[in-house]
Amino acid sequence: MQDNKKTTPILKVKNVSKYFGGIHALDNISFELSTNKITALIGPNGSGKTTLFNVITGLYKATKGSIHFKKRDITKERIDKIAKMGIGRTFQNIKLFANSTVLENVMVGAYQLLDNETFIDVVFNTAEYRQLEKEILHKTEEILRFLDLYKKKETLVKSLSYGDRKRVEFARAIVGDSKLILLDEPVAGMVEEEKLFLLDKIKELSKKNVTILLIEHQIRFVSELASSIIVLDEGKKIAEGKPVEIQENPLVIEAYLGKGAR
Amino acid sequence: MKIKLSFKTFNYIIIGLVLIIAPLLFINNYYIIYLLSMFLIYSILCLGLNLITGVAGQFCLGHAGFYGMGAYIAALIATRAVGIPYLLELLLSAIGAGLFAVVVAYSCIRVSGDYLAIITLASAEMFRLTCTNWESLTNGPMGIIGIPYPRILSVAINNNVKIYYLGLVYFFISLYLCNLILHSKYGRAFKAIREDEIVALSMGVPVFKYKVLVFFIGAFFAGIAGNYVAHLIMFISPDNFTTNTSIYLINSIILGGIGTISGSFIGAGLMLFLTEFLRFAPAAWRMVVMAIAIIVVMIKMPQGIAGSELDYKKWFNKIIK
Repeated sequence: MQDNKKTTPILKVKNVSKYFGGIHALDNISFELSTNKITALIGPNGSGKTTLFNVITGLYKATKGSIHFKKRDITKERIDKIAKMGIGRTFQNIKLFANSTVLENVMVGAYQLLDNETFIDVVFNTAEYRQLEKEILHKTEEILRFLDLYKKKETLVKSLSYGDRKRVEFARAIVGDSKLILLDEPVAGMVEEEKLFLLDKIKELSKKNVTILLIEHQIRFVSELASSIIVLDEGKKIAEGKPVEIQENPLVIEAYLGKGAR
Repeated sequence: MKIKLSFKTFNYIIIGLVLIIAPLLFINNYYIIYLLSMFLIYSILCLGLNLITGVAGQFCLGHAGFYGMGAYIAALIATRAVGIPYLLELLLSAIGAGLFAVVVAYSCIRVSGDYLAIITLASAEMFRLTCTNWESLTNGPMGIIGIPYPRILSVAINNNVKIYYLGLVYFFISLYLCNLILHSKYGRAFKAIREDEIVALSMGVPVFKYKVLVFFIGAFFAGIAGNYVAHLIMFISPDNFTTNTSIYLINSIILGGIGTISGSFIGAGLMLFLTEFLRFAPAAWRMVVMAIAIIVVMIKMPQGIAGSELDYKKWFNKIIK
């Protein structure tokens, strides 16, 4: 369990709403993420969790409200610029490049570390370019070792098991040194052993100056991992607090189990 | 000392040696040297097209337009602005073709797939029709004749063997550059765009900018090929740059291996061989044989000939053991 000391917020979401025509996918959501903490985002299907991820990462623009990352307003920023600022993510449905190797997939995630690699450097094959590429390869291999994927680095992603693919996607999200990582159901569909492995790795990562916001359905998994939980239901934030408080919150119980469950 | 040779390096060395030695064996055979020069042109064109379509996934049916732009710039400079150094003319051909591609890419940046194919096809046709109708500049359908052999500094490239070797230099440079680009952050970003634009954006890749960039690079190579063809055959006309040429190039990269460097020249070589082999066959039969070849490759080797590299690797490893 994480400690409860107050730390500086890395992400501030203020009164954010997202409407798709008449549908209010997100309605006036506000919260802050403390630096280097793990926060979980839970809620029934269709409650707006993935939409919130998409709004934070710039895939959708918020209809109302503002989002600040490291004190900078990112509400209207482009997706690629937000990623470059240091927000990495995974997707609910694994989005990997099936016909590329594990190494190639993960190296794409290091794109933002290669700002100094210009096209001219590539064409003239400069020493600086070669050094940068070497460093990126080294870093990628380090991440693959961290996630026990190194031996499979030359394997095509399409021939990997589901659990391995999930880990490759996780590797791709963290290789770029992002300061905030958004994980959309990182352990969904994994077997118990794989879940525990990834749980350990997420904890380890949060100790390395990385803030994590994750979507997960399994309250047991979330309680072990997160220092705080945000609960969404029908696009609204219905609760926020420590795992113990959330488990006993009548609104949360009602959202998950229906009226009369209290 | 035992030198460790990779399968890829071995292949490249063999191909390189064949291309260096081949014209010397046929030094008096103009036809063979011409064919080898055409092979180099199509290989460079396929390298560029493979970057755009194979690597970055942007379905381009207008490559002949970029090729034509390079050729016309070369022809106009060589015949009307005598005195401009050849290397500058070459650079202008490549950049001119690249800039034309940038305009095309900007105009179709928000579309993909079939729509992109149609717009790129239309842009090449617009270019061809402009060349046909702007007679005061391009001499219309009659084309531009009398394009001289190039002269690099004080060296005159004044026979078919010399011009072949000039093409070979362009081919090796293009191959080298494509290889560098493919293995850099740009190559990885292009592949990411092909696989999933949303993921590419989420990794920080500025997709819009990179789509334009890949068109520029691909057309830059086409511009070099265009410049070379103008000096090789000494005559160009709009008929050299029809939609058939674009489709011929697409067929070449499908046969050779889409998204692979070696697939570009394998496909170019195979298509050229098939075309020449069937030169005296009735036109209808030529099309039938071409179509059958493509269908067989697509069924047996969906990734193209170079895409099925793994099987050859096993064979190679067995031999060197």
